[in-house]
Amino acid sequence: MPWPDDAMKQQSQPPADGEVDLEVRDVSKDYDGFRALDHVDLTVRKGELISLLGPSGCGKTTLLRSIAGLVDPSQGSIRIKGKENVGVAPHLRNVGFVFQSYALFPHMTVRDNVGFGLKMRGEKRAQIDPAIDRALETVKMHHLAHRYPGELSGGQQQRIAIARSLVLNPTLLLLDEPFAALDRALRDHMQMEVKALQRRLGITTLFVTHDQDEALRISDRIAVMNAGKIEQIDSPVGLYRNPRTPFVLNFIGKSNVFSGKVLQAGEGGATIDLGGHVTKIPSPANARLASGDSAMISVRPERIAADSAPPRAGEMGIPARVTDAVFLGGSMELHLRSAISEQPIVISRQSGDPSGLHEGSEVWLSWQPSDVLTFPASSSPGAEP
Amino acid sequence: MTRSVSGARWAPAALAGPGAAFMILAFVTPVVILAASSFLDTGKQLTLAHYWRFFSEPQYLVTLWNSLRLAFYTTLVAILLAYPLAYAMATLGSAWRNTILIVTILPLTISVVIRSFGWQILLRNGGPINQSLMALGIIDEPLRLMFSETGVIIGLVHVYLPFMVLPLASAIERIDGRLEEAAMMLGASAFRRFIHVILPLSVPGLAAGATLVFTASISAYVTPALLGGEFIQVMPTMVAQQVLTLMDWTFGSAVSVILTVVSLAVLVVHWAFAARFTNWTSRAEAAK
Repeated sequence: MPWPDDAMKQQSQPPADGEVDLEVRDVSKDYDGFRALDHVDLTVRKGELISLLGPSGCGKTTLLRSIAGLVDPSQGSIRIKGKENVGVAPHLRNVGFVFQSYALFPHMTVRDNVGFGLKMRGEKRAQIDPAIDRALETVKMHHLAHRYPGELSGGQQQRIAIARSLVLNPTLLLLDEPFAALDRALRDHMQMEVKALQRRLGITTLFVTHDQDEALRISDRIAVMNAGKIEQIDSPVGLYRNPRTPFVLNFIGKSNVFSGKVLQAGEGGATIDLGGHVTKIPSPANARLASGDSAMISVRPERIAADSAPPRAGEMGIPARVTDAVFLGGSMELHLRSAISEQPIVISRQSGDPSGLHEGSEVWLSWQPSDVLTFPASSSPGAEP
Repeated sequence: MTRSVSGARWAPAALAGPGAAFMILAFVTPVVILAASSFLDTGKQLTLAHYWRFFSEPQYLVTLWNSLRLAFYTTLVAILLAYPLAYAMATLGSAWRNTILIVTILPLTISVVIRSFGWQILLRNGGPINQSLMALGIIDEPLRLMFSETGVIIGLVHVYLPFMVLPLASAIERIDGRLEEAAMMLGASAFRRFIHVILPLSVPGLAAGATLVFTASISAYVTPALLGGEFIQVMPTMVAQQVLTLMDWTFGSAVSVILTVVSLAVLVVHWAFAARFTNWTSRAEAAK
């Protein structure tokens, strides 16, 4: 089972060249002894759609609000189009901010909401009116211009909130948990719509989310945050394939984690003993292994093969028993018990998989060495997402 | 809120009975008697003479005008003082909130009579306020604060400020703090955030507070009597004078009825506007 490398390649790296729209350098924020942001660095290029992903309290919203100017960082530099913005008033940063609750003015019509920023800038009516029309056209909300926010659905309110930011032609569009208030069906729809809009306008966009699926669906790159730091920033595929820390491993997708002892390590890879069963691994990029070390390895659910026939001599095959089969629509998940892990092992299969595995089936598990991710045993698995 | 425990509807009604009866006896009855006697002459014949007398005598109209003006200024000053207090209460932490709450409502625990004597000491020509202002060289001779309109307004504002601060604070508290941040992101200065966001969205609290302060201060008796004295006659002091000093019950009744009608008119205006305000606030609720 090869990884679909080529198909994903164009997404896996940030555009290497192109203008830098946002440069966050060494930004920290302390609140009464609590460090909300801890030496954060982040570079965003023009036109990118970046998500700040992490559990609540990881600092993602503080980072977004620092970029907007709603929070003053304790130290560090925030440059927008090369210009230092720490200490600059929020409205002078040319940044659009969409709040989680949308924060539409309930006593103003949609038109007045969208025109508010232009009015504050002192623009003339003759300029404001066509600008409002264009912004409403952009989000396809022209027909509701005279409604009040309370008369709109959540998705419509969100579009108005976006239009209210876009009308000022911001350099950056910042969205705080933009889809959290929407129900599931509408959320999926709005994610795609916002992504399409972002692509069409080419506007550099950052959004905060705690939902890994959402981040994976629409981001060019994801900055995974934990305890005030960016643990890793990479494309969705890059994060999934090469999580650099156990925290990222656990936060992006499901994984099976095993601990074992290094039997032998060399240039071409290593062999690891998982309680009597041996697996080969490639040389890990982020861990130096010597024989006798403990190691933590991980294999994604869809990279584990389950055979109902025992392995031939010299091949890998870890005996396991299916304890549960969970139907998920297009795919299914099998939970297995095995001597090598206290936690149930999770593997995934296409629905209608012909192998006919069911509760109680005895199987032998195996995987390719290249599908194994290795972490130094000292690193803890981190918080569950 | 209607609960349908079958056959038990008489119970709340019966329990509400004593309170309702008390209110009817203690409030409605005197008002009816008062209103009735204002239309009677000495021979118990129906007449509009008392009202005619009130509206044809300039001195009485001045009294009505005094009352309206004092209540208006009191309400205006209360609004100006209450907004910063209410805003601080609603947006700063709970320590601030409680401090302001205590400072605002503590005077309510002291009788208005005692407070008015306190103001007499503070406001008189040789009192601390005038002495301080003269010592600082701001004024050369004492300001006439006692027995003047200014003194009465100061006293009334002190008494009725809590009735403005509390509804206003609860209205501002209900405004989503993100609205102000959104306005800030869109370039609104602190002043324009107040004008475009806080003010319109706190109108329900403002209207409730203004109605309370206006109706309370137009019918206040103790403060105008003790701080204004003979020098500024208002409707309640006039009623007291007619009834207690001149023993003219029927004319006093007519003046009372006029005062009540003015207060009711303010309430009606409030209710009429309240319908519009409710639209805004219900939209605000729905938008959440």
